[in-house]
Amino acid sequence: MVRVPLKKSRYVFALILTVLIFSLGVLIGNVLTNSRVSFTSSLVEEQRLEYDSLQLQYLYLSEFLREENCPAAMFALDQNLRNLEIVRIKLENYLEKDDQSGLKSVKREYTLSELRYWLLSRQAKNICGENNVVSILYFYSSRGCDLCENQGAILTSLKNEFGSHLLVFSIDALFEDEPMISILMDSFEIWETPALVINDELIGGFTKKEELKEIICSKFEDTLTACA
Amino acid sequence: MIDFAFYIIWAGYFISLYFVIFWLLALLENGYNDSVAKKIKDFPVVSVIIPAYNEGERVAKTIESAINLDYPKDKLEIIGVNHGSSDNTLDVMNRYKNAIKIITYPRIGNERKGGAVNAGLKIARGEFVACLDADSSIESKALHKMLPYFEDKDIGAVLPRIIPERPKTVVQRIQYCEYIVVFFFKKMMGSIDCLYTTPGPFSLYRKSVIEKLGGFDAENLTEDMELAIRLQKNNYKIVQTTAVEARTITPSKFKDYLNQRNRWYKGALFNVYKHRSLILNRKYGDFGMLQMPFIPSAAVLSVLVFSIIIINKLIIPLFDKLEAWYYGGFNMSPLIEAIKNFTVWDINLDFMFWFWLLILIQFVIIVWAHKVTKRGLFNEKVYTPFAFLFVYSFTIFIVWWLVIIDLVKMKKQKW
Repeated sequence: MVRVPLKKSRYVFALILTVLIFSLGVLIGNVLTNSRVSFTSSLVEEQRLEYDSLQLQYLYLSEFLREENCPAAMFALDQNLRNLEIVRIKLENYLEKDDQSGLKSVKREYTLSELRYWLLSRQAKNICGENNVVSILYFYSSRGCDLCENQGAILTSLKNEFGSHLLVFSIDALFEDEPMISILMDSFEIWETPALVINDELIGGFTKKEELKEIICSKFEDTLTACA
Repeated sequence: MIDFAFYIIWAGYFISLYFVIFWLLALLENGYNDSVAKKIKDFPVVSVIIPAYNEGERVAKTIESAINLDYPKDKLEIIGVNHGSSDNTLDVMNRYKNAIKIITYPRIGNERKGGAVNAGLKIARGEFVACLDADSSIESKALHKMLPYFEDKDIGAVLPRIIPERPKTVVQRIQYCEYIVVFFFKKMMGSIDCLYTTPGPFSLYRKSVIEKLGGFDAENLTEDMELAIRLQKNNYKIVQTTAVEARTITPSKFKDYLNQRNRWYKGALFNVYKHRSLILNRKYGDFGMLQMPFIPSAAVLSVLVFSIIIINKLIIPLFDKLEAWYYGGFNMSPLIEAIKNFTVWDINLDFMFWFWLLILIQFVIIVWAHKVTKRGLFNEKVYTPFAFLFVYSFTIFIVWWLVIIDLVKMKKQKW
């Protein structure tokens, strides 16, 4: 009645095999993440082209003051912004899964796009004399902000109501890689998230849907059907 | 917190992968030997003990299968133990009083099946004893195939392969697949002396060994497991045979299934705790180093990994969504947008890789187990192996949670 002595080699061999399979998984994970980064980069790259084109359109408009082309350019701005929002949601989603990767520089690229579009929209409003478009610079943070998701949901639903009359630019306030964000936050004196800059007015903290709708409506020159 | 949670999931993957690889290695090393080594030479006296508590409906079939055992009648002793039944168990037993011995053992305090089997052991005159649960039956050639193993004096118990009666419900089909896979694991464990239970359906023991060990633990929730651990502790071998079939009736309703497992797993925890001196004790070989730690770690991992996945992937997102709907109004457009702009990168591929790898390994084992037990993979409904693959481990998780809740409440176990 003697037990067969422990066979160490099997424990070691099993461990080696496990580590091998495990590393294979990590390796595949890395490859996948890299492909994901290049995919997202290509999306942002496309956005850049779109932006360049749009910028050129406005440059052309301001040079030749052809206001009859304004609606088309405003429409293009709105479309580009919507596409950018899709990229943003995807990117935040990917970053949630894996934030230690090259996705951060992609995020920086897209943040710059948001800001470019925001500046362009202000320019566009001047050029076109458009007073029935409200732009909202929305500061959120992807971590430690429970209300941000709800504020985001409110903005999404208002965007659905107002359509191209409302332009929302979403900026991650905690994204330190881009110095432009802190410049903006300093100049608007933003200390907390969520925060909204509606045209030029700062609304700090979480804003309920009805309240926000009222503020937006007061900025329009004409009374829109959504506000009635 | 989230990071910590995901480390636990990684650890869970790693440890379960390690265990599976270890057992597969052991099996590959020792080979899957299917043959019955020797023919039976002499016919020692064998006692079959059938403990029954309120099993009036089932015990007849059990007794008949014992009577039908192909063995010299003067060498076969069948003992029916009526364990204080309040139904017609005794009447049913009395129908066979010419062929079996019947004793009535009262229910005393917290005693369970172990007490009844001990009472049978006391009067048994066999050199070998088998315990046969009243919800089970045994094939007639069993003793011919099992007894030759005992030529090796170190062997304390020989186990048949347990197969459920033909399944009728989904719950039974999943268990059917489970028993086949579990048998395969037992074969692997058996090859490195790691069997930790000698189940109620016709485990055959050397009586002198059980007597030396002091019989069954009368109050134990899973006395068959407790005895097996004691056999291991005293370095007796347990052999898992492949060619002998015992049939058992499995719970047909999900609730009964949960109750049965609740008792098994609670018993497992108690018994591992009772014999905790074996855990990671090199003196007990692979059993101490691998099998004893495996049971509690499987419990902890199952509970942690599933809880984390359910909380992170189901409860929190659902709660967030509801909250967002409360503030922003019910709005399907983000979901519709997400579907419209879906790309393959939106899937969490790293996570999926691990998930599918584990599923693949399990599937290979399921196919292999069906092959060696010569059962068609899709013999019972086509969905059976898939139901097992995707639902079974989730039910285990539920059972472990029920066990935890019971332990917290210090609930007394009912039979």
